[in-house]
Amino acid sequence: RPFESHFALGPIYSYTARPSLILAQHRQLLRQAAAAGGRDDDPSPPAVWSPVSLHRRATHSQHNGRPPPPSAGPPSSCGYLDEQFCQVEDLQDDASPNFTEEVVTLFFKDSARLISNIEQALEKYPKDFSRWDAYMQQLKGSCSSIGASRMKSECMSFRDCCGQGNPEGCMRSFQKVKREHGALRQKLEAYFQLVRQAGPAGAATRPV
Amino acid sequence: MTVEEVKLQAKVNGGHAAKDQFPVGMRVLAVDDDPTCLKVLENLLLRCQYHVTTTGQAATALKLLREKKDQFDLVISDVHMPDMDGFKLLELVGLEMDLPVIMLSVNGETQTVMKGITHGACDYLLKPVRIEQLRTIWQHVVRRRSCDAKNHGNDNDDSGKKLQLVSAEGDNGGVNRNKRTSRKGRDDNGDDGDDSDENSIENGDSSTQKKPRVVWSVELHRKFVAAVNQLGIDKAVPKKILDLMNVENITRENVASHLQKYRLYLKRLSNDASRQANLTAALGRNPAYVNMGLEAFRQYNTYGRYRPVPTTNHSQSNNLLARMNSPSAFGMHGLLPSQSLQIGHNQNSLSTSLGNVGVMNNGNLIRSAHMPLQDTSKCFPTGPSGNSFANISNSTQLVTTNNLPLQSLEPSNQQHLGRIHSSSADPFNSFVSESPQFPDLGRCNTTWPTAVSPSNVQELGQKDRTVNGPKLEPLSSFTEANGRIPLLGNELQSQVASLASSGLPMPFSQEAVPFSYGSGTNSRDMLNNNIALNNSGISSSLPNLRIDNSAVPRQTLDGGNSGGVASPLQDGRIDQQAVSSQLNFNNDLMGTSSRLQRGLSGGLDDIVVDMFRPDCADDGVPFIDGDWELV
Repeated sequence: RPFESHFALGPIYSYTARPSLILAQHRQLLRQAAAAGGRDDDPSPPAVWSPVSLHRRATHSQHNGRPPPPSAGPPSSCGYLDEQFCQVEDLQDDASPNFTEEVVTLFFKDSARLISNIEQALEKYPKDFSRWDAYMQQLKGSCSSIGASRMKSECMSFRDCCGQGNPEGCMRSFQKVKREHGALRQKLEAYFQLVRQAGPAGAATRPV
Repeated sequence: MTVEEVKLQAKVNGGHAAKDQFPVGMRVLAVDDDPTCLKVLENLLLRCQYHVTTTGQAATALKLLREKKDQFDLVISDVHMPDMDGFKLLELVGLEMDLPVIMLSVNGETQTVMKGITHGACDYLLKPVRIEQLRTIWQHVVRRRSCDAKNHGNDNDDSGKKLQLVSAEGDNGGVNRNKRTSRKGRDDNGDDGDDSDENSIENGDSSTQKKPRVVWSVELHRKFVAAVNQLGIDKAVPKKILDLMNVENITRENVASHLQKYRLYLKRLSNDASRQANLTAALGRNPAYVNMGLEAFRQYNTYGRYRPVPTTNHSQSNNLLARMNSPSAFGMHGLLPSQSLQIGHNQNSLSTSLGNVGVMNNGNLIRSAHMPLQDTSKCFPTGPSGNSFANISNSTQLVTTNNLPLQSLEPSNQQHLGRIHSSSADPFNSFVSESPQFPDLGRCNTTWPTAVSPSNVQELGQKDRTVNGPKLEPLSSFTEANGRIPLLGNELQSQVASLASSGLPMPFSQEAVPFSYGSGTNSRDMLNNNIALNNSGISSSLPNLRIDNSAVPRQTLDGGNSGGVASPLQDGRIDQQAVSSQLNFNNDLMGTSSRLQRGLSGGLDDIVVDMFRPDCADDGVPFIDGDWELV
C-alpha cells in the first residue's frame, strides 16, 4: 500500500519533501488511526512512523492526543475526522475541483456563528438547557456533515450535560468544543495547504 | 457519459428526463438550514444523478413547491429548522402536494423518528447521510406511484365521469386516479398542457404527477366554498366548482366527494338550526346554514384533514347561505359563537337580522358557531338566541360590512364577530362585551374557509380535527388563531383550552375572549356572562356553550339552547372525535359537550370542570390523514 511504503521512507519534516506523500499521510492521520489500539499515548502505528508523531511534525499541531480510532468512542479516542470526510472528499471531481475545501470553509464559517450563538446563550440565558441543547444540536449536525468526529463527540457530551441539567458541565464541555473547533481548523488548514502543494499528485494519492 | 454530463443532462431535462431515465434525473428538493450539510447533501444527490434544488428555508421550499406543483418528485427536509418546524413542513407538503418526504436529522431518538413517521414521512435518515442511503430514495417515489396505480388500476383511460364514482375520500389511489383523469378532462379544455403528458403516463411511470390523495387544506377548502357560493349551493356541480377553483391536481371526483360532504355538513347545520326555536323566534332567520357552515368549517379546519361534515340539508344550506350573506345575519352570527350554536340552530331565528349578516357570513357564523370549537376557534353556533349574537357581535367587527367577510378568517376575525353583531342587532351589542374573538364568525360568512391562514389552520387543524371535520371553514379562521370564529364556543374553547390544556397552541385561546367572557376569563365566567347576557333562551344554551366551547359548540347549543344547535355540535363533535384529536383538550371538550347533549345535566359546573380537565396533550396525535373521516 502506498502509505506503508511511504512510511518506510523515514520521517518527513518539511512540507516540501514529497508533498503528495505527506498529503497522503496527512489524510491518514486526520482520519482515525484505524489500526490504533486506541490508547492515547501509544497508538500502535501500522508502519514505522507513528502517525501521531508524523502528524504532529507535519502540521506543527499542538494537539496532545493522537488520532485515535473511530469516532464512536469518547472524545479522546476519536480521530479528528471520520469516514464522512472521506465521503465529502469523494464528491470532489472535475466538475467541482475544490469541493472539499469549499465545504470545509463553509463549515468553519457557519460553525463559528453557531459557537458564538451558544456562547451568547450561555451568558444570556443561564440554565436554559433546552435552548442550549437546541443550539448545540445544530452545531452537532454541522460537524457530522463533514465528519468532524472529535468535535461532534464534544457536542454530544455537552448535550448530555444539558440533559442532566449540569451547567458547569456544560461550560466545560463547551470550552472543549471550542478547543476542538480551533484544533480542527488548524489541521484542516494545514491539510489544504498540503493539498495545494501536492497539486494533481496529491489528488492522486487520495485514498479510495 | 461523465458524471458531469449526466448531471447537466439531468438538469436540463428537468422533469421530463426523469420520466425517461428514472431514477436518474429524479427531482429532489432539499431543505436544510445548515449550509454545510445542505451543500454536502446537494452534491451527494447530484452524485446519484438526481436533479437537485436546494433551499435553506422551509418557507422558500413551500413556495417552490406550491409554485411548481409538478416540478418535484421528492422532498428531503431537515427536522430542526429555524423558520418552520420540519414536521410542519412535512405535513404541509403531504397535505398540499402529497409528495414523499424524507426527514433528515442529527437526532435519531426514537421519539423523534416516530414523530416523523406519524407525521407522514416516508423515511427518516440520520445525519451524516451516506450516499448509499441516497441511492435508494427513489423507491419512495415509485412506491407511491405504484400504490396509486394499484388502487386504481389503469385509469388513464377512464373518463372523468367514471371517476366520479370513485370516492376520493380515504382512497389513496382513487384520488390520484381521479386527478389523473380529471386532468385529462381538463386537457380537453386546454387548461393544462401537461396533462396529456401526464395522463398518458402509465401508473407505474416515473412521473411525479400522481398524487395519491387530495388533501383538503384550508386554503383549498376555502376556494371550494367560494366556488360553491359563487355558483349557488344548489347549482354547484363538481365540474363548475372545479373550474372555478382552478386548482391543479384536483379531479372532478375529488370535488364531487368533497361537495357531497359539504352538503351533508350544511344539511346538518340546517337541521340543527331548525331546532333552534329560540333563535328562530328571536332572529327569525334560518341559521341552519350557519351551523352547517360552521361545522363544515370546523371540520375543514383541521389542517387539511377534514372530517367531512355530512351535509344535511343542502337546500337549506342554500337558503342559509343566502341569508347568511346578509349582513345583519352576520351580526347574529357573531353572537353565535359565543352563544354557541343557538344562533346557528335557529335558522328561523336567525331571521333577517342574523341571516342578513352577509348571508354568507351568517352562514359562516352560524356554522362556525355550530362547529364545535374545534380547538380553539370553534365558533359556537350560538345556540342561545339573539343574545348570543349580541355578545358576539359586540366586539367583533364582523359586521364591518354587511357581508361578513368570512373569507378571511384571520385571527382578527374575532373582531368580526363584534362587528357583525353591531350591525345586526343593536340590542345585542350590549351583550357582546368582548367577543373580539369572534370575528371568525363574521368571516365565515362569505366563504367557509375564509382566510384561514395556513399556519393557523394548521395548528387549529390539529385541534380542530378532533372537533369537526369539514365545517372548518369558519373554523379555519379559528385556526387562525384566535378563534376568529365568533362563536362563543370558540372563545370558550380557547379559553378552556388554554385553561385546560396548556399544550394547546390555540392562538385563539389567547385572544379568544368569548364575547361573553371578558377577556381571559374562564369559560365558566363566560358562561356566567352569557347567562347574564342572554335574556332569551340563551342561558340554557350557555351551558351548552361552555361545553361546546371545548368540544362542540354545537353540542352546547343542542343541549341548552333551543336544542337546535345541538345537532351540529354533535355532529361536529363526532367529527372531531373522529379526527384524532391533536389535543386532548378537544377530547375533553367533546366529552363535555356530549354531556351537554345529554341534556345539560350536571349543570354548568360539571361541564366546566369537564372542560378544564387537563388535556392529555397528545402532541403525537397524528393528523388523521385521510381527510374524509366522518366520525
